[in-house]
Amino acid sequence: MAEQDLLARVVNIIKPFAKDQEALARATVTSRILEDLKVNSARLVDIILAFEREFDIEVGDDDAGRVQTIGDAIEIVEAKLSAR
Amino acid sequence: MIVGNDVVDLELMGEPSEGFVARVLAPEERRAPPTAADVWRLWAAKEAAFKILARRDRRLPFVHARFVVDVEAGLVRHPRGEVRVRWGQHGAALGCVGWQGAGACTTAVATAEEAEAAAAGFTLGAREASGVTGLLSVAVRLLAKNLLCRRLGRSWTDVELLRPGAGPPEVWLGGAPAPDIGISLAHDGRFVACAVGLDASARYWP
Repeated sequence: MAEQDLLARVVNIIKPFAKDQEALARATVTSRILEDLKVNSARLVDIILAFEREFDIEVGDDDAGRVQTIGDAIEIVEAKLSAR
Repeated sequence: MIVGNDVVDLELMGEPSEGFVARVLAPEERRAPPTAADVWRLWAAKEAAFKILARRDRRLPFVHARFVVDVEAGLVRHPRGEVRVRWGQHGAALGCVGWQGAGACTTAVATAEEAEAAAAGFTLGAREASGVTGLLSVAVRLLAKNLLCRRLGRSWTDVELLRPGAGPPEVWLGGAPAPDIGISLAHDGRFVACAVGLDASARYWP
C-alpha cells in the first residue's frame, strides 16, 4: 500500500477522536497524536483498536505503547501488513 | 518527590468498550466484571503511575495492562517499580495522584474557566507559554502556578513552569530549576488538574 494511501486511512481513523481538526487536516508523519491533534489519551486506545479492525491486524501491547506520532502508527501497520 | 496525576471527565468518557477493557486492564483487574466507574478509576491510576515511571525512562512504552492497581492498598505495581496513589472526585471530575518519595503532595482540580478566574488576571510568562497551545493547556498551567505560589509563598513571576527539551514540566524558582519540587499536569474534557510534591526537607518554604 502506498504511504500516502496509508496516511490518508490512518488520518481518517483518527478523525472522530481529534479535537484539533485543523491540525489533523495538515497532519504529517511527525504529528503527535495526543499533543498536536489533541486526542484524549483514552481515545488513543480506541484508535489502536480501530486500526486492528480496519486493517485486520493485531497490534501487540508493546507496539501500541510506543505509538506517539502518525508515523509510528503507519510504521506498525506497514510492518503487520508486510508480515502476512 | 516525583508526582504524576490524571483527571477523567466522567460525563465525557462514558461506557468503555469490551475491547478497551481487555487491552487496558490486567487479568487480575477484570476477574470481576468492572463497572465503568471502576475502569476509569483504574485508568486514572495507571496514567498517574506511568507519568512517574516515564520521568526515569522516557522510552518506557505505556502498556496499561502492566500497571496493576491495588485499589485497597492505594498502590500501582509495575515491573519497574511501585507508585502510591490516591483518588479524589469533584463533581464529574475524577482525579488521581501518584507519588514516589517522602513529602507532601497537594492537588487541585477546576474547570478551565475556574482556573483562569483564580489566576486573577495573571498570565503565563513568555518562556512558559512557548509551545503551549490550547485553552486547557494554558488553564492547567495557571492552576498549577497558582497552587505553587500559595504553597511556596512565592510571587507569580518567581515561579515558572517550563518543559526543557519538550520533556515533562519542571518547576523553576527565581530562574533556576527546583528539582526537589514535583509537578504534574493533566486535563480532560472540561477539567484541568495539577499535583505538586514537596520533599520532606521542604527547603523551599519561605
